[in-house]
Amino acid sequence: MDAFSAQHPSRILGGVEATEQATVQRLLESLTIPSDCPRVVSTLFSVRPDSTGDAAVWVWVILADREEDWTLAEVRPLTELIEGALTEGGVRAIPYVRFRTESEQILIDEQRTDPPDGRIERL
Amino acid sequence: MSRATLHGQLLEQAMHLATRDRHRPRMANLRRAVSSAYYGLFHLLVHEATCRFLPARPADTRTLALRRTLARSLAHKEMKNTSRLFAGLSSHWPPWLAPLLGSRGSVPLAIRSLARTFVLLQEARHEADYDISRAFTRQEVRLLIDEARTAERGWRKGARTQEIATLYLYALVLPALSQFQKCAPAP
Repeated sequence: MDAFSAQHPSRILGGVEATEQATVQRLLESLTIPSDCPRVVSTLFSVRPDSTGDAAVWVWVILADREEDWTLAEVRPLTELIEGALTEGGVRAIPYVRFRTESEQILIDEQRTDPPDGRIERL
Repeated sequence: MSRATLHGQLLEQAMHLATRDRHRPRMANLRRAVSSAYYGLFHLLVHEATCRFLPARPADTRTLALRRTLARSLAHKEMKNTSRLFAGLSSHWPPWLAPLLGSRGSVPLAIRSLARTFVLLQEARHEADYDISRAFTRQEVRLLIDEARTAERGWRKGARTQEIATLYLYALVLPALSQFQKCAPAP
C-alpha cells in the first residue's frame, strides 16, 4: 500500500540517527489508520536532535483537504496512534506530530528548502 | 481562558494571529502565533509554580519580590526536562522525585497533557522564532494553539488542585534555585 522514497540521500546521519530513521520509516509504513480517522494522504518525517539536543522525530501527517480546518478532536486519535507506534516500536526520540492539509503541503513542496528524511504515500 | 492574566492574553493573541488572514496566512503571523501560544503556557507554569512555591498575601511585598526573582530564574530547558518526565516522554526520573511520585504511571491525564503540550510547543516556538527553513501552515498552527488552549483549560478546571500538580510545579522550580542569586535585582 505504501511507497517510500528517500528525499534527501545526501544528508549525513550518525549511526544512531540512521538506525532510528530506518525504524521510524518501518513503523510509519506499517501503520493501519482506522477508517473513522481523517483521510491521510501521506506522512513525512525527519529524525534529528531537537533544539535542546534531545533525540527527536518530527512526523507531518498530510490530511485530505476540506472546507474547514481539521479539529484537535479529529486528529488526536492519529497523534495517539503514531506516538504509540513509535514508543512501542522502541523509538526513544521525542515525537513531534504535526498536521497539514494536502494543498498546504503542495505549496510547501514548491518552495521547500528543508526536505524531510522520508515520505510515505498512502493510496 | 482568562483575559485578565498574561497567559490568557497570550493564548488569545495566538488565535487572533493564526486566524486574521482569511485566505493566504502571512508566515510572520503564523510564527508569532506559535510563539505566543508557547509563551502562554510558559507564563502559566511560571506563575503557578512561583505562587505555589512562595505563597504570599497581596501586601507581602518581600515575598512578592522574591517570587518575581524566582520567576526570572526558571529556564526553558530545565522546564522542558521536567515536563518530559510528567508527560511520559522520558523515564529518567531523578532519584529524589521518583519515590514521591509513587507509581510512575500515575500522573493524571490533564497534568500529563499540559506537560506534553509544553514540550511540543517549546520546540515549535524554537522553529517559529529561529528556523526560517521550517514552513508553518494555518492548519498546523491552529492545532498547536488548540493543544495549548485545551491543556490550559484542563489545568484550570481541576488538574491544578491535584496532589501531583504540586509535585510538578515544585519540580519545575527546584532546578531554578541554583540560578536564583544570579537573577536577583542589583541593589
